[in-house]
Amino acid sequence: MGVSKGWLGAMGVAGALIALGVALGEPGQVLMRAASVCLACMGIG
Amino acid sequence: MRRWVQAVATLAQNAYLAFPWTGTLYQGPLKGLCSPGLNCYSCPAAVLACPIGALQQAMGAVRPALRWGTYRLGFYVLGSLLAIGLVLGRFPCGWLCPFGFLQDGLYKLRAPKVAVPRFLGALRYAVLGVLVIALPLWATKPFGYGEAWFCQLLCPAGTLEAGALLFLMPDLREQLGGNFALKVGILVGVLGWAVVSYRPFCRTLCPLGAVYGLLNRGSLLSLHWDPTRCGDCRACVDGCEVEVDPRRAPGSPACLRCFGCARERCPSSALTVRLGAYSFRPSPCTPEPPALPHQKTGPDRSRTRSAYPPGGPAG
Repeated sequence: MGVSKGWLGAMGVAGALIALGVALGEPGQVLMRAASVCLACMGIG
Repeated sequence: MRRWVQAVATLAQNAYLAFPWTGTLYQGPLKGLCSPGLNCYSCPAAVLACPIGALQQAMGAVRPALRWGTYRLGFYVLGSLLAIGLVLGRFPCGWLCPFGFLQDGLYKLRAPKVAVPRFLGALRYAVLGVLVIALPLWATKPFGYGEAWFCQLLCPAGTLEAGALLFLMPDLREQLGGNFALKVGILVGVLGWAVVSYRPFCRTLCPLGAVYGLLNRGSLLSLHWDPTRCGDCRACVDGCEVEVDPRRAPGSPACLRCFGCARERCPSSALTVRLGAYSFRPSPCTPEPPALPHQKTGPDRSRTRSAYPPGGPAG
């Protein structure tokens, strides 16, 4: 296989985190913030 | 080939080229996905979310989420970073990051070159821990949300890319103050440093590189060293821009995964790139030399040193 059980487990954790985040609506939050002007990024504030 | 991939990746992550006419940021559904590299989501052309910006926003919202029972604790961003790092390691740093691409270009300028002190590499973990996680989590505003401290105080990619908004939205210029001057100073300092040192920001300050670097050792895409093929010519060590010894530490967190050692420098195919079980040597590659007598019984450093002419094998 070339892929260890540890790696598969970690990837499973990553997949579970993404699935949980999607179920809680987090991508919408990311979109909302990323689609608005970030004053902090410009150094304002 | 790497330059072309970097150029295409930079363009792909900043593909909203209609912004001069619309006067706004891209606000489509792709902004809900994390980009693999450090690319400010307030860049008018950006079509993806910066993972470090999104992580700070998620950390800053943890306490209100717990208070209000929404339990949005940044699972999606953490999972995305973990998944990208587990598959690619620091490959996005070497091949996909727009700010890394800019630094690569600056390093090509003619100037005296200076090594980056090795101990400064630990700074990126401090930046990750303090500015990206701890301060957004604990130093909250009166109404409960934390701020994006890395973006606000340090990120030179944000100053450069989000700074383009100052041309689109002239009203914002009235709000510029001391913090903007600080960030411009940091940007100028980092870009100037990148002329004399290779990828100084990536190696000392980038929190995204810190996350991916921690996963370099176990990532699916990896570098593999075969001691039985190694001629001990040290071409990989001497040519590595980030001063990693790929023979001793092929999974080093400092390795940007440019794979220059395997692609261009190793004359004996001792270094190969692996994707899981699949092993390959990316092009352009030197034709594989014929097997040497020592390779049947293991390495013999005294003989292999003279096995190749200077500059590698002929043909």
